[in-house]
Amino acid sequence: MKKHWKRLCAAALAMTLTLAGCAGGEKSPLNPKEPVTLTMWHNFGGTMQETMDELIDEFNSTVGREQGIVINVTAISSSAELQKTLAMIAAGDPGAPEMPNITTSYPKTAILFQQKGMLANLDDYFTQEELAGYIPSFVEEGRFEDGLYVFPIAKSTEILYLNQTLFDQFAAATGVTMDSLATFEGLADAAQKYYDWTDAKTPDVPGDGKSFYVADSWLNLSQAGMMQQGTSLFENEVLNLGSDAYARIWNTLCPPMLTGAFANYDGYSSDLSKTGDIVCSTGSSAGILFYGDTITYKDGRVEQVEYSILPFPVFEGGEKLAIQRGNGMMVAKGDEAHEYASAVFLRWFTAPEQNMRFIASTGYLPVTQDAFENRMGPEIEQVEDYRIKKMLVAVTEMYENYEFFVAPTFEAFDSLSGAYEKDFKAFMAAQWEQWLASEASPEEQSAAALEQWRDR
Amino acid sequence: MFFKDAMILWKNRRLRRGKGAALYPRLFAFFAFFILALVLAFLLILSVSGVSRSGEHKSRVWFQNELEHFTQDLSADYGILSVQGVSLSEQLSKDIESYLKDEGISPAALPDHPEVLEGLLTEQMPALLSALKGNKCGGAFLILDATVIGEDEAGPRRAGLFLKRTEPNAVRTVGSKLHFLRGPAEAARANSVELLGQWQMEFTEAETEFFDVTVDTAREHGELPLSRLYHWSPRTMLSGNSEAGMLLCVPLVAGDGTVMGICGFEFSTMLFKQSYSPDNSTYTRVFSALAPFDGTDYHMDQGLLAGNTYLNSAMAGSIARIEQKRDLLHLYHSEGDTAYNGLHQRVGLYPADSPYRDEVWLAAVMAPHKDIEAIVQEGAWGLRLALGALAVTSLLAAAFISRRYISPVLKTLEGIKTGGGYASLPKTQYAEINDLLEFLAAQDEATAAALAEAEAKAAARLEPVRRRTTGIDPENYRQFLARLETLTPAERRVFDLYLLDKRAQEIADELNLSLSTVKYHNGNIYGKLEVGSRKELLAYIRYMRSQQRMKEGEHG
Repeated sequence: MKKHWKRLCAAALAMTLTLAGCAGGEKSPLNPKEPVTLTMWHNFGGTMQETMDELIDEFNSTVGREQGIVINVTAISSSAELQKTLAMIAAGDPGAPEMPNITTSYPKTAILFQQKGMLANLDDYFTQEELAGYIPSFVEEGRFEDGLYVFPIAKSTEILYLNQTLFDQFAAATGVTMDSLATFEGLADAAQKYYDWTDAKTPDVPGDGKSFYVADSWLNLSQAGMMQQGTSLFENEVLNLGSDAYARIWNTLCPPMLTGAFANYDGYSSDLSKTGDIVCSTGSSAGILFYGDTITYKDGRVEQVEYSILPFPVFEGGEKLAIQRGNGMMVAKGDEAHEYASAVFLRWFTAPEQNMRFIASTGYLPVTQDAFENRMGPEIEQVEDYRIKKMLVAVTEMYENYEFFVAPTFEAFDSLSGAYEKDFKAFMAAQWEQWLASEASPEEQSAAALEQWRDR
Repeated sequence: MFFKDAMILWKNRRLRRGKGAALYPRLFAFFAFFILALVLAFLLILSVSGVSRSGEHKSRVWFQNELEHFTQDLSADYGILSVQGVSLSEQLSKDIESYLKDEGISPAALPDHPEVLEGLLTEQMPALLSALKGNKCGGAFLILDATVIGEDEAGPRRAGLFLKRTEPNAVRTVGSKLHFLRGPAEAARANSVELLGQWQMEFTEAETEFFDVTVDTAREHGELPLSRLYHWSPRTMLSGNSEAGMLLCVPLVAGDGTVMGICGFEFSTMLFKQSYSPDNSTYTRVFSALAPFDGTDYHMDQGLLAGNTYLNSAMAGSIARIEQKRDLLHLYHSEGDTAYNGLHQRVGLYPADSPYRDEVWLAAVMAPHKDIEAIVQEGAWGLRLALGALAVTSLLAAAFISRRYISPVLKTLEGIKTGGGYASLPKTQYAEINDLLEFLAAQDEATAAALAEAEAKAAARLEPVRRRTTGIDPENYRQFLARLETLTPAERRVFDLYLLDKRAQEIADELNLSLSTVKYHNGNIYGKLEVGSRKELLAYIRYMRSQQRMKEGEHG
């Protein structure tokens, strides 16, 4: 009898060890039978949403299904709104929603979370070899202090959108050439000429000229302008407004803003483009799809137009420098399964095959060396949307001829940059009213305004 | 142990042929039959009681609960939005009529005055914005039976406003971002609302079929109040909109009964998804749907779906045919051979006296058939495995017990076969066997004593003859042959083997007898043939052989 029991015990022990051995050999904390659901927020709305949906759908039904990951998109919002909401969460404001597992975010917002230990360090989930496959500056942008907290998924820069149809009419009448749009000084000069030219169309209504240019972000323009002149808008985490370089930017932008040659608009430049209220604008290269191919006038007339994409202008004598934009994905600190699953998604989403599909229909730039160096050329040929094709050609050229910089990352940057943009527009609107009531020239008003601006 | 026994039994099957079944397999077969009968009875009870379908029962309960919650929430949300839509229509109708009155235009003449449309629409923006912000919806709109553009390459146009909430307010974020999809750009700028990338100034007639349905019905049923004239459009996608949605359309009716257009809310796909996604911890790909039913087909392509995995109509199949209840859940056959299981329930979107009362909308919760089957089977497999394990364990136990029970008996029998005396065999735990062994030992002893006595008598009787002659007396040989006939068949078989010069052990082996049995037969043979010793017997045998050879020579 004892013999039998010994045999039974031995068999049971062997089975237990075998099973334990099987379990121990599995490294992934995921179980396909009990999938991990990741809530995701992103800002790829409009036409980009369709591509994003398709990719997420594909992930869920392939890699996600195999490994036990379900991506659940619970919010799609504009980038600004998303950042605002995230800032609320980071601050722990009452009524703030629960932080998603994975969300698009700018480094300036991510750092608020990182400082509170709310983010997963993605260095723990990607090997050095894997990260070496990405464009180094894109990865570095999401790295602060001790780790990688914002993973690059798609990048953009700022470019000059030009309504070629309107410009050609203007150029034919005034002799202004596109060369003048290579510098901000030339742009300001052309803008004033455009204003005067459109104003002259209705001699009986003085002062009804049209704006020529608007910037989506005056802050980015100022940052780029300062960098082009070899200095920085932010020094020691405060605005550096006292420099000659800043005065030069100010005195280039302010006079046409006072006259109306530059628009002062609280919204995206694409809004004004659609109604023919501007001719050109600087904005994110990823915004290409927001520019239509028509102008709708008040009376219902619709005019077919064509856009050209030009490199970001440079202040005369400055270096060819442009801002590197585009947010990345940050991953909330959580249990190992959620963090691991998020990394699996990021790895899949940024793999050249998926990344190129995303950029081909959204206008962003890929983030891996392979995609950027080997696949961009063939991909551009296959892009169906001519607007995206134009943008990719222009941006690829920019990447060959320009240097790129990233906005600084420090805790107060988000609030500081937001306030700068808002205050700049409000200040300019007030200055415009003052200028209308005064006898001063735009240049005189600009100089006085700069002093007031610095003294705020 | 069990396998070793089985192998031995298998190898000895030929030897046993014609001798009846062996004890061990017979006992084991009895146990096995008993166990299998029990397992079958257990299965029968499970089947009759429905316990084996517990997985399906659980599925039904789960789907029932989800459907109940879904339907409750849905009815409440859609009901509230319908009421709010009617309020919005009343307010906008009044404001538009007032605006037109100030402009000296009658409501019926609105289509003839495109010049007032921008101002009129801009005036309505605050009310529409307020309605959009205050309600659970993805967008708010106002469409007039008038146009500035008139007709262009996209066809006839309709003026109006469409405000889009790009971030559904089911997620509690700071403020919902509003965008402008349709309407005069100035109206948006005056209210600080950004134009969507796909903004157009006016709607096309082609994309606003829902407009005609609502306006025509309102004109036909002018006697009904607005609360009876609202209509929920099937899933609609406006050109340039990033997502589709169901549109609540309420007619804008002036005081004189003129139907000026429609207004209402959009229940967008994202909002629907965020609001009604069922819990997917049990069924990963479960989703809920609200879609029209025409009596045969469930038109999911015209409704909205919500699931934690991103679903669209392409994934779920556009149209599903509902099959009669299969077991406990409905089966929905969709295009592309996709099948779903789930439950559905009618949702009342309209009052009983609404012109749209015959439109049937079903709320359903379903998951791919494969997924449900897998989970149900998982439970059934558990039960099957448990039963299988129980049966195997019982069989092993049966083998063990049978062996334990039969082993002493077999050992005893083997001991008897190999000889050595019954008395020397070990005692078993079975009284009957011990009694039998004692009885056989006693018999053995008696036989041995009788044999010894017979041998002694024969020796005494043959001693004079043996002493008289060294050869075989012919008369004695004749009597010897006569006595041969008195041998039993068993004794004769033994004797015949002696004729072939076989030794006692060889005879035992060949006849599958124990040595003691051969010896027993020997005793009887000696007695019956009246020979006193093996030597004398062998002398007769040699004589017999010589006689046979002589006969063979005479004939040869």
